[in-house]
Amino acid sequence: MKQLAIFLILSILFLGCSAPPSEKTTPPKITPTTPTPTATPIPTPPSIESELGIEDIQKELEELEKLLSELQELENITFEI
Amino acid sequence: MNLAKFMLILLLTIALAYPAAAADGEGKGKANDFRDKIFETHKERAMKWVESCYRWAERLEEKVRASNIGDEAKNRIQARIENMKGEIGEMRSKIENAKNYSELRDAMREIRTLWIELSKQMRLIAYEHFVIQMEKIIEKLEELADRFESHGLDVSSFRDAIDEASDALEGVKAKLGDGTVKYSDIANLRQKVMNAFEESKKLAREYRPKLSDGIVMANVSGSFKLNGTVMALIKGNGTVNVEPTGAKIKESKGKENVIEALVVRGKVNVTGEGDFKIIAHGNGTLTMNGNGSYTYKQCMNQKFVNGTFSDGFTINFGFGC
Repeated sequence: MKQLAIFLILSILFLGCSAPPSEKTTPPKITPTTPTPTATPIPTPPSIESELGIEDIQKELEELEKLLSELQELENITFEI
Repeated sequence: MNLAKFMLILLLTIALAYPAAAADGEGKGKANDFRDKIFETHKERAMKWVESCYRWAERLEEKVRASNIGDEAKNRIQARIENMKGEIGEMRSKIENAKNYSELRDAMREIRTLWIELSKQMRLIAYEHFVIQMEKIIEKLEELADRFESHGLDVSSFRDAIDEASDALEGVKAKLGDGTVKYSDIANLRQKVMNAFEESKKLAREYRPKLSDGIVMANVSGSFKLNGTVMALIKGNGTVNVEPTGAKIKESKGKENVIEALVVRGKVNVTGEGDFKIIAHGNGTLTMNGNGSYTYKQCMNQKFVNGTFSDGFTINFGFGC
């Protein structure tokens, strides 16, 4: 009886160790995927205003205006304390 | 008895005088506290102001460095800005070194004297930079006027506005030269340039070349041949022949061989000899012999291609768009 019990325990251990894990046995599930079309960005042509340089002129005028108005603000200092 | 009276008067005097003296001392202490507080406030404010001056000078320097003005003007302005920054640094030291209200007040008096000269310099440098940039903007506006005119738009109001801006610019440049320029002159110039710019924006809304068209802008010194179905502007000095002559929709001549503006439209064959600026929209071929420069787009939705030539060059534009 004792030998049978040892045999059974050893058998269970052997089978348990030799059996491959369940993850290995099941092949990875491959689901067929249909390629989804990706939208390629179409380069948008610059606007006429941008191409003519109107936007650059506007920006330059604004920056010059800002520089002068800041100078005027600096000139408004009072030195009396 | 007299002694007793005297003692009584003395005691009364001491009794009355002591609280007043104590109150006076307390008042002085409060006054000192108040002065300390306003000293800190004034010093902080003065430091902020001087830092703003320095940042303004740095921004101006950055703008001058980034601008495409000539090296001579750039170096001259940059040297003046450096000098200006040095003086601002001197003002900053005076404020920083003030330990109390009186020292700060003295420092501010000295700074006021420095500032009279420094603010003049700052204004002149800012104005000079402003004038150089305005000159460049006016040049760009003139190029836009040519381009709009080459597309058949009526640019008379735009050109008038540009002329007014150019006159104002010349006036400011003269005053800048003799150091008499004022803010009102600068504001007037700015307004004139803004007026011209507004006209350019109106025309830009009307300027809608066909996507199937190409565009070419070229300067040639030599000879040229332009043919195709085009809308074009030719300006310069030399002789030009247009076939058919009915294709001319505008011709403005100056002295001798000066062609101020020749606008052609339709199926044309234009030849010329001399120095010219040519801007054409449509479908055609421009062949140039001599030397010059060009910018073109074969189709309107493409990017410009630039280049120069010293012998000859042929540009096909508008075909296959």
